[in-house]
Amino acid sequence: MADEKFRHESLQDKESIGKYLNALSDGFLNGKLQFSWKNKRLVLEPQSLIKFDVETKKKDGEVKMVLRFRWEQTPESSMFADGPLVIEAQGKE
Amino acid sequence: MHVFEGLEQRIQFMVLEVAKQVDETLRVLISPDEANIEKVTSRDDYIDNFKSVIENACFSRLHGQSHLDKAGIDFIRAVNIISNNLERISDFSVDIARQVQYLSDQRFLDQFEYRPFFRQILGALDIVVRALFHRDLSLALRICRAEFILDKLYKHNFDKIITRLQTGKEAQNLITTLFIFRYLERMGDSLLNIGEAVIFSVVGEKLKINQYQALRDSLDSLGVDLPLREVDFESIWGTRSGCRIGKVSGDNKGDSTGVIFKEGKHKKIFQEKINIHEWETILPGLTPKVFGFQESRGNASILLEFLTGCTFQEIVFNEDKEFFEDAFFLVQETAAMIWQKTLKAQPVPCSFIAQLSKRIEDVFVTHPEFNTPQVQFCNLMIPSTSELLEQLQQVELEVTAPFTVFIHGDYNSNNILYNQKEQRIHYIDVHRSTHGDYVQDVSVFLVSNFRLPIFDRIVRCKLNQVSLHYLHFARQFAQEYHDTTFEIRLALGLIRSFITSTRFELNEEFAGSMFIRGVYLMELVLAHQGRPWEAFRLPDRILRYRYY
Repeated sequence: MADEKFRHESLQDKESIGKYLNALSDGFLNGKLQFSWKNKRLVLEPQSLIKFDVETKKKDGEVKMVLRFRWEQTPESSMFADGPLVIEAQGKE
Repeated sequence: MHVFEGLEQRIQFMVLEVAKQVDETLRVLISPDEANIEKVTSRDDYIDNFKSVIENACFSRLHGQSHLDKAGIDFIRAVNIISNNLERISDFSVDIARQVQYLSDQRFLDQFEYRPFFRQILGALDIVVRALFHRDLSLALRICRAEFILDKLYKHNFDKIITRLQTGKEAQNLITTLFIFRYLERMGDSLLNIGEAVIFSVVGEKLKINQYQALRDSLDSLGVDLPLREVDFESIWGTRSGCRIGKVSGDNKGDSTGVIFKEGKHKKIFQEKINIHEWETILPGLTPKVFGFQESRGNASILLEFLTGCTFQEIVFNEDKEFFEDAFFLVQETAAMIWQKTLKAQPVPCSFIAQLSKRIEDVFVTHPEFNTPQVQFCNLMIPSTSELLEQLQQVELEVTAPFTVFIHGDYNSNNILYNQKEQRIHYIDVHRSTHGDYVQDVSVFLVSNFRLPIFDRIVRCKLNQVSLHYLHFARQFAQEYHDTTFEIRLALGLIRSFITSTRFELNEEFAGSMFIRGVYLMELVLAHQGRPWEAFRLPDRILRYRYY
């Protein structure tokens, strides 16, 4: 599967940044983060566990903060069955 | 051993002297006055002298006794290597004592954790004589392990010093401190040589323990549980060296049956014998037959039937689908049968977190970074690991298992054997078996699959499937027997197993992935407080491994 990428840069202030963070928060809560541009669309559906790293740096008056979310985009139902092996047939009454 | 009496005494004395030397070095760091420093430097000559005397004794014995067999020669070689390395440890002590004078502030070192180094070094020195003279491989491996832990401690402090150096302040003190830690780390290298020398004297071959990881992998592949438990080591090294596993004639037909010989602390071996007896009444043939049992001063040995078959852990790697399915089916059937048969309606308190609390220090020694402090994240307070544990201890008091069954007690996938020919399952290493909560076995089994350091996609997928299926199987059993607190107990059990498993895992990323799973579950459990525990549900996905 080809990589799907979305990138958006902007300038915000401490009030307006809240809109973005709230949008993210809502997206996670609803299980769907949608990003569209031109005629393209990227939909992320975080359902598995999400690895979350926060890193901040302050150097010479410049501040950098990286929020990183990592998860696996596999539907929950097939989460354990993405391999060649099926063992469903036995062991159940 | 009388042949080596002179040597035996000398090496014993030398170990004692070097231990004192290291102890005095610690005192120098605590209070760096002239008198303390002098003690260390002056003892060094005395220790050098010991080394020369022992070296002379070794060589004259080699030349003077024509009837020495290979074992005798190996022993002398080991003593010589040990004394050389003891002398080196003493030299490092002197180096440390001399460094202290370069500290402009004598209390500077207090900001760093140097005591754990000394605990490791003194702990390892303490068992050298016993390891050598009792030919105790598990102790020898403990000595080797000290090196690995010292390396980790060194890395931790090294990083701390480098970070502080970047501020540009206190450079001299920081560099002096770095040197001190470096010498402590080198003492670990000498301890590793000592441990290897003991192994050599017992096994008679140079078994190089370059890497603890490699050692552990080889232990794993032989189907023995993760290290640090004496009995396991005994059996595995026995297997390897051929000296602890013998063949005895089975019956008149002249068939020979393999037997396994285990030696270790009396309590453990004796408990294994008792438990095998109990298992025999529950499901005859499940555990190996006991052929013999002997006791001697604090120790005991047992002669067990050598059961043929593969461990379940090996089976997961087996590509034969049917073979695997049969084995897995039988693992579940056997467990269900035992649980049904031994079930007693006798509530037992939950003790997973209490068990974890006892071992958490060991986890922190291997992974100091897991000992996270309380963190403020904007207006969110994130509790420290210790705080989480304390809070969970309270939760645990509210939870009981409604019944007991006879549990294996160490239900790792490599303590379960499958015999394809007879279509049956065997349990081995049952010294921890007891009437208890089956959720303990369930959680240990689940994490024993998860923690295998295998990252091949197909194998990993199989492991994920095994975990999920076993979880469903256990869940079904819980429902049938109206076990309403199964989920919360399983969460507590998994927290314990995920976190304690990290002390054997040196791959930082993999260890981290287990640790954060434990923490995630801790937070999940704590967030549920105030609602009935019967309503708690464990998320299945916690068992799925991903690279994070």
